[in-house]
Amino acid sequence: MPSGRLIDAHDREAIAQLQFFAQNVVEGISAGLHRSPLQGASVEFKEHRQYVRGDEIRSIDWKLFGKTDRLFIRQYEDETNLRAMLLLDQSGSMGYRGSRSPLSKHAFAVRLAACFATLLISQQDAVGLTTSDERVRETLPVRGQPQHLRNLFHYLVQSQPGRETGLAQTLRQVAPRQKQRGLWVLLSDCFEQIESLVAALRSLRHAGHEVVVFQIWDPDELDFPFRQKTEFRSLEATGQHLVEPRVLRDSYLQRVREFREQLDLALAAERINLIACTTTQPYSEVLAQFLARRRNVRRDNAAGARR
Amino acid sequence: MSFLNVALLGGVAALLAPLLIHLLNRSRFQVIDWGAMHLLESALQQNARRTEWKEWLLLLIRCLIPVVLAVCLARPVLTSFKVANADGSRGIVLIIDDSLSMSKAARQSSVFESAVSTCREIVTHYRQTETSLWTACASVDVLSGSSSSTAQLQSALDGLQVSSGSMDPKTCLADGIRAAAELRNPSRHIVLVSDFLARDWNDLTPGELASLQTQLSSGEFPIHLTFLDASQIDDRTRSAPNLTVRFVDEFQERVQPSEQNMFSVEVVNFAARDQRDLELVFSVNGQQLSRQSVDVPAGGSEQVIFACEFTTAGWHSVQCQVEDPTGLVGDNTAYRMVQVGNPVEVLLVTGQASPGFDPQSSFVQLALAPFGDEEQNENRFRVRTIRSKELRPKDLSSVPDVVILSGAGQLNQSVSESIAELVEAGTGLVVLPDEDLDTAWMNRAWFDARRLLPMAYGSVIRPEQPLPLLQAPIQYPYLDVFDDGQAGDLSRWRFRSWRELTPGAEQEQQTGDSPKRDSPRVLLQFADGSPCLANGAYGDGVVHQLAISGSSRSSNLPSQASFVPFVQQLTRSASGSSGNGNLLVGQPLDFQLASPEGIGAADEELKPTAIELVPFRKDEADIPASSTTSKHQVPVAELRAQFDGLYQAGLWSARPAVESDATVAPAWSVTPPMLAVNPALEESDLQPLSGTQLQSVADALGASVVSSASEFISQLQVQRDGREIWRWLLVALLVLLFAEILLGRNLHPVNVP
Repeated sequence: MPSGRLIDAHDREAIAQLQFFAQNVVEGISAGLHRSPLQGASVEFKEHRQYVRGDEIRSIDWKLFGKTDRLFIRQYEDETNLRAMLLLDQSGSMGYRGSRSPLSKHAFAVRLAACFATLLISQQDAVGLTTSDERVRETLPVRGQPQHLRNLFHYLVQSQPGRETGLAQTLRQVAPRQKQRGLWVLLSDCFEQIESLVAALRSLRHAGHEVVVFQIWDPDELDFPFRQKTEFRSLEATGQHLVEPRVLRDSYLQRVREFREQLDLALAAERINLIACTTTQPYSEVLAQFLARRRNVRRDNAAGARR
Repeated sequence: MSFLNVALLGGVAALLAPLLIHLLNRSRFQVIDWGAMHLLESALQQNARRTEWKEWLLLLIRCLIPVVLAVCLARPVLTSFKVANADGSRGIVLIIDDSLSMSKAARQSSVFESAVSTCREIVTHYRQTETSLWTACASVDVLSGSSSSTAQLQSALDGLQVSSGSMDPKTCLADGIRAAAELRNPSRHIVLVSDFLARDWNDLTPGELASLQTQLSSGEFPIHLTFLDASQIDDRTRSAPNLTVRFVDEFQERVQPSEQNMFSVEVVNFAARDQRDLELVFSVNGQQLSRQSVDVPAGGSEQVIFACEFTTAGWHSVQCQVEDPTGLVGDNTAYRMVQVGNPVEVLLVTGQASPGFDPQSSFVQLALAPFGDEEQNENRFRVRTIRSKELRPKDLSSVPDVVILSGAGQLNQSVSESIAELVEAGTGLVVLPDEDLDTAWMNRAWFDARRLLPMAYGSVIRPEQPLPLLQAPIQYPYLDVFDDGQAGDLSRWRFRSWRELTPGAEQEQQTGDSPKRDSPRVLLQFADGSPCLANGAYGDGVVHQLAISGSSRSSNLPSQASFVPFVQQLTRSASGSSGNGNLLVGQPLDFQLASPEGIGAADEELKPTAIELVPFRKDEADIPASSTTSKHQVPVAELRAQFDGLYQAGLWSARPAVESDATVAPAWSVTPPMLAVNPALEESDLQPLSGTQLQSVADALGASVVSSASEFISQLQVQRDGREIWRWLLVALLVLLFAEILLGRNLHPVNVP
C-alpha cells in the first residue's frame, strides 16, 4: 500500500474501472492465443499449474490428467518467474493532453500499464511497478499473486504527473534492486537526454534484463497544429515561450523527427524494443504490437540457441 | 523641408495604429501547458534570432507606411534644393490683361479696374518683393526691378488703362517667363490677371502648352505660374452679350475727289438673342452723314453699305458706330482713313523698238490703267509711256510721281542724271529688267556711281523648274495687303527666269555728292532665297528694284489676278505715300517725314527728331504740347520712323514732335498724317473659358488658379520653393507595401494544416 495515503471510495471506483478496463483489453487480445507469449525457458521442473486457455497443448501433463482428470501444465523454474517491472514516468511532460486526445499521456500510460499488469498476472507471471519523475516515487515489488494486481492498480490510480523528468537517474536507482533477470517495461515520453537515458537502459541490458520502451506521444506533439500566437508553458515548470507557431512549425517538426530517429537508433543499438504510440491509439493495438515484437525476439533467441 | 499641406501631416499619428495592434496582439495569445518543451526550445534556438528581427522589421514597415503616406499627402518640398533664400522673399511678375474685353462692366466696376485693384492688393502685401509689372496686350514692361518702391508700383498701376488690343497668351507668357528669369530672387512667380477668354486661349496647341511648361520649369529656378481670374463671373459657361462693328476690308485705294465711294460695314452680334432695330451712325470727318437701322441675328452678322463723296483732296476719316448699351464700349465704333487725291502721275519708260504691243511693258501699262477711254476717270494712275531711246530730259520736266523703267535699254547720260535727281527730290523709281538689260551700264551708272539702285544686277538665272516666291510676310506699306491675301495670292506666281540681284562690291569712293545709300531691304524673295524685290531710299525718293520683268515669257505674272493690284500697290508705294493709315491695334507702321518746300532733307538742324501721335480732334491745333496723355513719340531716322503699334482704338494724328526749346519748322509733313486704329475683333467675343477648360490649361502649364488676391497670398504662404518629393515618397510607399506583404507572408505563412 502506498505510504501516507489511505484508499478512498473514489480510488476504489477508479481501481475497479481500471481493472475492468484492463481485463477487457487483455481478454480481447488473449483470445485465439494458443501459447503464452511470456513463457520462460528452463528444464528444472518446479510445479504444476492449472491449464488456461492459450497454454501450449504440449505442455499439458497428460499423466496427471489421467490421474486427476484435470488439465495441468508442467512449469519449470524460470518459466514461472517471468518478472516484469513496469516503470511509469509521471514527470510533468506526461501530463500533456492535446485537443484531439481523450487522455493525457500519463493517463494513457497508466491504462497501458494496467493492461500490461493484467496480462502478466493472468499468465501467472510476476509484475512490479515503479513510478518516478525526477526521482523514484513509489515502488511495488514484483509479485505474481492475483491480489497483487489490486495493489498495483492502486498505485497506478494514485500516480499524478507534475515534476521534472529524471528517468535515467531513476533507472540507476531502481535497477540494482532487481537481482533477478526479468523484463523492464518503460512507459514514458522519453523527453530526456537521449544519451543519459540510453546509458541507463544499457546498464539494465548488461544486467541481463530485457527492456521494452513504450514512447507515448500526444498527436499535437507530432504535428504541431497550432495557428494563433501561443505561449507554451512548460508542464515541468522549466519556463515559458511566447511564439508564433506558424513560423516555428517547420523547425519544430524537424526537431521531432531528429529526436525520434536518434532515440530509435540508440535503442536499436542496445537491442531495446522501442514501441512508439500516440494517446489516440487503441491499447489492444499497442499491446498486440508489443506481443508481436516479443514473439519475434523469442524466435530470434531460439534460432540463436540452435546455432 | 517644408510642406504644402501641413494639416495632412497629422496623419503621421496613424503610426500608432500598427503599434497598438502590435501591443494588442502581444497581449492576445493562447496559453498551452506544453510537454515537449525541450524540442520547442531547440526549434526556438534555431529560429528565435531570425524571427525576432523580422518581427521588428515588419513592425517598423507597418509603422512607416502611414507615416510615409501622411508625409506624401502633405506634399513635402525640399527647400535645400535650388532655392537658397530663407527669408521668404520672392520675385513676382505681375501681368495684367489690358485687352479690350477687360473693359467689360462687372459687378461694381469694370473687370480691368478689378484686376488693377487685385494687383494693388498684391503689391501692397508684398512690399519688399521684387516686382515686375507687365501689360499683356502690348507686352510692355510697365515697371520692373527691385528698386521700384511700392509707391512707384501703385502709381504705375494707377496709370494703367485698357487697350483696344487682344491678348496673345503665348507671347504674353513667354514675355513673363523672360521677365521672371531676369529676377534676382530665386523664388519666382508669374501672376497673370485676366478674364481668360476662350478666343484667346483655345488657340493654344498642346505642343505650345508643353513648350511653355518646359520654359517654366527648365530654368535655373522653377517659375510658379498663377492664373488670377479677375472676371468675377459666377458661371463661366455663359457668354456676355456684345455687339461690334467693322469695315469690311478691301485694300484701300486712293480715291478721287467728287467720286461716289461705297463703304461696307459688318455688324456682329455675339449675344445669344437677336438684336433688332440697331441704330448705325455713319460719320465722315466727325460729322454725322447718315443713319441706318439693322437687325442682327443671335451669333450672326449683318452687312450694311454706306455711300459718301469726298469733295476735297487730302485725308478724311470715316466712322461707323453701333448702339450697344450692354456690351463693350470700345468695339462699338469702326474707323477708316481715306486718302483723296488726284491720280498718280506715272512715266513708263519702255525698251521697245517701235510702237505697238510690247510684252515687256504693255502688261505693266494695262495694270496701271485698266480702264479705257470712256472710263478714263476710273483709273487711279495717269500713265505716260515713252521709249527709252526717245526719252529726253525735257520729258522729265513735268515731274512725275513715279518713273517706271520696264525693260528699258541704256539711257543717255543726261537722262540718267535727270532721273537720279528726280528720285533724290522725291519721285519714286521702279526698275523691271529684261533679259537684254545692259547690266554693265546700269550697275556702273546707277549702282556704283550714283548709288541709286539698292542692289547690283547680275546674270540671268534660269531654274530647272519654275520657282514660286518664298512665303514670308512683306510688312511694307501698301505691299502688306498681300500678307493676308486680301489683295491677291502671290503664292501662285511661278518664275522661269530672272536677273540676279547682288549686294555688289561697295566702293569706298563715292562720286559727287550723291546721297548715302542705306542697306537694301529685300521685300520679296524667290523660293531659293535669292532677292526678287529690293527696296531702298535715295534722297527723298523710294526705289523699288525688281529682279523680274513684266513679261509673260519669264513668269506667269500677267495672267495672275494679283498682278494688277501688285503693280498698282508697288507704284503707289513708290509714289511717296507711306501707308494708308488704316491699322488694327498693335499693328506696326512706317511713317515718312517730308521736308517743306525750300528746306533740304539734309538740313539736320531743322529736321524733327521724332513723330508725335496724339488722339485726333477736330480742333487738333488746340492740343497743347504738354498734353501727354495717350501721346506717343516715335524717333525719326533718315526721315523715316518705325512704330511698333498703337493699342488704343480711334483716330490719331501724326505730326512732328514739338520741343519747347527747338525751332522746328511746322511745315514738315508726316505721311500718313492720320491713323484709323480699329480694335481687335476677337476681343468682342466675350465667351470665357469654362472652369474646367481653365483648370485644364492651368494643369497643362503646371499653374494654379485663384480668384482673388487674398487667395493668391494664402497660396504663397503655404507654398515653399524647392523640389517636391511626393513622387519619390509614393514610390517608397509602394516599396514598403510590397515589403510588408513579402515579410508578412514569410513570418505568417497561410498554409498550415
